[in-house]
Amino acid sequence: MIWTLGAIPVTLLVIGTPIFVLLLTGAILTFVSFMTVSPVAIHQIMFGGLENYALLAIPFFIFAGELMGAAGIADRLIVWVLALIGRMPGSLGVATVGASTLIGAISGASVATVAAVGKSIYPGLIRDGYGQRFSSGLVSSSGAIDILIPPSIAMILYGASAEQSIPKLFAAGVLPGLLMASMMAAFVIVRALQMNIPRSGKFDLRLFLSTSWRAAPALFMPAFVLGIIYFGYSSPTEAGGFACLYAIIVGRYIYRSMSWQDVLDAAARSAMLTAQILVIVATAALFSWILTISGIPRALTEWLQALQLSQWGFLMAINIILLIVGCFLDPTSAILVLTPLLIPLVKTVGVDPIHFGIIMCTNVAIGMFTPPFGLNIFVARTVLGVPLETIYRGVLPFAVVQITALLIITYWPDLSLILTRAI
Amino acid sequence: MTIEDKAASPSEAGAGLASFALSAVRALLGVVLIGLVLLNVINAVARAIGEVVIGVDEVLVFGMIWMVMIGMMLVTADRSHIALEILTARVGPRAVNILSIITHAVMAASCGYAAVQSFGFVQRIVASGQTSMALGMPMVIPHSALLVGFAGTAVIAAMIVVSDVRQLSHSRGGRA
Repeated sequence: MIWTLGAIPVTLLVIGTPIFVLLLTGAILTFVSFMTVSPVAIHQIMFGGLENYALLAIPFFIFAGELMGAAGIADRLIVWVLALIGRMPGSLGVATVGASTLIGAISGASVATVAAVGKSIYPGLIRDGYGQRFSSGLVSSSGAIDILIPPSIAMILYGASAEQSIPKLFAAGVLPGLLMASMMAAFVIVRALQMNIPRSGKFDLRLFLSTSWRAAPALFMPAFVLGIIYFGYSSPTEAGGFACLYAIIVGRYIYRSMSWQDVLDAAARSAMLTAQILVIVATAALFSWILTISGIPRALTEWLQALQLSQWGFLMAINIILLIVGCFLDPTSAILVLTPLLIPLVKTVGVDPIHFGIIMCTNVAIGMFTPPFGLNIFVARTVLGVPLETIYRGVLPFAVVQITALLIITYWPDLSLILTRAI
Repeated sequence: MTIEDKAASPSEAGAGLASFALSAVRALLGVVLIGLVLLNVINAVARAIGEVVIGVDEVLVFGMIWMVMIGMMLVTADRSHIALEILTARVGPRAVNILSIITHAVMAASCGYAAVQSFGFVQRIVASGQTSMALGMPMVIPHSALLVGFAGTAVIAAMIVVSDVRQLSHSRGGRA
């Protein structure tokens, strides 16, 4: 069974087989070779994996993010952040972090944020003297904050996979996300002072008020989406639908920057992105079912108990494993494949599954921009036109900053859990 | 330029037709997603004003499953499934071609097998006449999505294998 569930899927992964195919192939080979259950169950388990109302939030939030990009909402947020930050040292660098955080609070798609922020701010960063390496590293790594700031697709996937409350996960991500953004901003300010970056402009109240007026509908969107969830008016899935409708109204009738054709194009792109993710959900459900039936999570739990690791040591080991996995696998696959394996272990050592969800999301967020296969790196290369080697070197200091934030998030559970107690 | 040059060859016409069909299906999926969003919002608003619309959740989930399965075929045709490009980014075009043949052959076989099992399950559902809990919708409708999705993906993957093998043999012939 180690061949069908381990060696063959890993070999297929290395040669570039789509993730859903390697999960499906491993599961089918195990069914055919070792199991007495009728293979018709393959259909039933995959259907069961998809027949989950909570998963509907994924296409809705992807669509909301695509609409936001099409309507130019991201650009207005960036202009507003720049007007707010004014004369602060490293203002444009801090604006990159701030804009990524704000856009993350609306879209939840890290890659889209890198593209939007990169296109708008990168030329200014170069003009101010931040240099290609620092600027490309900053843009690539700031996009990762999105995964921690609700609404987050990674959190929805974790919640569905670990059977945890998605509103609680959203609440748990707020403070860790802000911590990460603050640490990134502090690092940018220090580096800007070291590099003698000139202070660009000054705080202009009139400019700030006019940009605030123009950005108000965009700024209200995260408050609206999270507000209707936490005040009990809607589930995260319904809030995703409202977010789409809100983005269409703002883009079509308030900003007048989006045609109906743009809406349809955004919907078609979102449907395709959804298919890419949810087909992995279906096959990961099958693969996880086989792992569970085969007793692998139980064996791992027993092995862990035999090691007598402390909670501290366990979390450190898990972080190292997740960081390595994150360098190679995309967040969707990493969460869907590893969550069913890790949840029994997490419960055994007494870690809160909501807290663990935030730890896991932080790890995969860092994986979004760590070499060699962080998706944000490839987006930045395409959007910014910077050589891959330059981005690889540029992201390293930011990886150190975010790993430091990860350690704080890991060993300070209250940071994640304090807001969940209010729900 | 001769008239023969101007007229599209059968293969070009076929490619154009396929491209049009793909664009049409892609737009259809966009319409489905917009429909799901509207239905979801109507459902939430109706509940807020005390009206209960029965079965909307079922339509939303089953609609999503169909959207994913049709989308899976389009993503396969676009060769844009999520995959690790650890080898393909480092080898030459010929090796990429060979790897593509292998991965799509595996895809065709696995999805073909899944489609056969789906067919078996759908037959059982038809025989039992199972319906959904809220709407009483025949469950053959949502379950058929997986049959269509996996069968279609298997066929598309097989077509990609054939196309890649041809390309490989042409490049070999060209070099000879």
